Amino acid sequence: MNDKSQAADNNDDVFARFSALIDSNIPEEYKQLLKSFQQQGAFYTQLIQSIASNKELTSFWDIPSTLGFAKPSDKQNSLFSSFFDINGCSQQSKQGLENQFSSFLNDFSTDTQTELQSFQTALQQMSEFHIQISQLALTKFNALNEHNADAPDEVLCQHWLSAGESAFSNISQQPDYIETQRQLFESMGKLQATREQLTEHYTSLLGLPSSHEINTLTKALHALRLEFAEYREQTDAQWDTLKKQPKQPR
Amino acid sequence: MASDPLSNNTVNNHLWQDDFVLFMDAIESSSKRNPSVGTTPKDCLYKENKLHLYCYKPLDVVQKDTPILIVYALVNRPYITDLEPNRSLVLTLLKQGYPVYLIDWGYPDSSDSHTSLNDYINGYIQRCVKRVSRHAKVKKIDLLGICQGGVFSLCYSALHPEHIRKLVTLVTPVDFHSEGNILSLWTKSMDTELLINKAKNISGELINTLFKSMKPFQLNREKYRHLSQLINQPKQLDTFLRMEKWLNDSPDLAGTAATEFVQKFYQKNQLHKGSLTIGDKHIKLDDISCPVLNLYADNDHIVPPSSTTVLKHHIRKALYQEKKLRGGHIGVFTSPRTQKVVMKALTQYLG
Repeated sequence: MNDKSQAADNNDDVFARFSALIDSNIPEEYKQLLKSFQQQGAFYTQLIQSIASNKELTSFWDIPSTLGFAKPSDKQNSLFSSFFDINGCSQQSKQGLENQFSSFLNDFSTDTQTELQSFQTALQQMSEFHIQISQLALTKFNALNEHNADAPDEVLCQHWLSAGESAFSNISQQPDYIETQRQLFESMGKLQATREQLTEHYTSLLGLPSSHEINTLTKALHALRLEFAEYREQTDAQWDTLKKQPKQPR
Repeated sequence: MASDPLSNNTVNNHLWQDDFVLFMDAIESSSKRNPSVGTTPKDCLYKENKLHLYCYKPLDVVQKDTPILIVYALVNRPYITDLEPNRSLVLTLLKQGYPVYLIDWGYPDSSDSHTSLNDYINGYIQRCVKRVSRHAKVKKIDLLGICQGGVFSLCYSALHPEHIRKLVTLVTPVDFHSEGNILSLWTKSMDTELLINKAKNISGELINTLFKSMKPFQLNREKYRHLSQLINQPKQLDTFLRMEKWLNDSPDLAGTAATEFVQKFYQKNQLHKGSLTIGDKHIKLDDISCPVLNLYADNDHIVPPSSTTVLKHHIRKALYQEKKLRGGHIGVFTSPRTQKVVMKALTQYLG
């Protein structure tokens, strides 16, 4: 067997083993960890290869994919994910979100269209900041490697990290970045509020309890819990005091 | 972007694959051992809604008179104080003969969304302090507050000085607008209502992502690079697995208290400015009449040293001590090396 086919067999073995473990009954958190190591192994392998072959490197400091937002996942928090232009949705989001809202209400209001527009603007601005971070990180990385042409992989990985964190720290603390982040949150929040109003409208049409009514109930439950806890505390304290008192002869 | 290393044929990739195979073996073995957390024996002394007040079983050593109540943050879970036997602040305290109690806040759900800071400080903590006092048969107890739990402990000690003998704050922010406080910068003009989810709480996943995005490359990629350090070292792998479990175990935060915390502390910096009210009570840190030991980490990216050392300007000079520890926000009380320093400082201070 030649080296090439042996390597291919090895790859198949490793992949088969990995798949078997992912399909096994080991705890979910362990599977997640295996996937994380596998994904980061892929990332660093490609980073080292790209450095060696003088390829374009800015994508290695891409914030959305670094935070794990590059792949669709139903577990992602929709509000927070929006910060990071998931799946390049700054280009695609108008269609997607419009469809989503249109399914709730056909006469999609002009106000909502305006809110959607401001959300997209903020999202695009945030994407521009992410590009700036990647570019600044590359500049810093090149500066770190300037006098270190044959740096070993370990050093290159450390330089990648240090360049990335430093660039992120510089840009993410700028007032413009913070303001864009705020605008993104606010516009997303307004869109969510509109969606909730629509949901409330349909809930009311179906004769289901409104969120206001549910809120009133949870408030009352909360008050009742506190009252009971205080009552229990006083009773237990009194009981404790009584236990300490000497017994009166009958 | 990155291709699958399982299908790449490079020298580097072969080395990585060899390590990954060994790592898979190690993970499989570890899953059989099932390394658990918070294993120091304890009894539940009191339960209220989701909260559990635990009393740790004393070891066979001479017991100190005054119990210590550990108040952890609402963010993440308090078992970080008892991660594993050689990284357990709880066990280290027990070995020195301190009676140890701990508040576990549990996992709030939608029915807890109205829980306020007043409910936490003047309700839950107050009732736990009274329970511990009665259980240990003492009038005053010692409080050890960690991070946000330290903020709560400061507020509690200012409002109820009659119950506290000595206070220890560990990695506790006081000035939320100090230099280098990224969380404060990011939240300063944010409408906190927008953080609330359908259950009227702030999602733990959101908070987790927020913390991970403070050092995105370090916390999302770099920590998964050092495969070779975990293979053939089962203990190290088990510790790593326990830490991973803890890091990803983020309860939702009760909406009312969480938004109050962001507004009053991060946005308005009221604790440091002296304008804080909890419930209808004004909190002045200079009302604290017990000794205070403030322990902080020199490399803390969540609570920068400048955010915590300002406490010395609020507490009477004769009552205040501080100690700088080497490490980060979590490492200061999980690292066995730092724990020795923490313990030495605590035994000198608490007696």
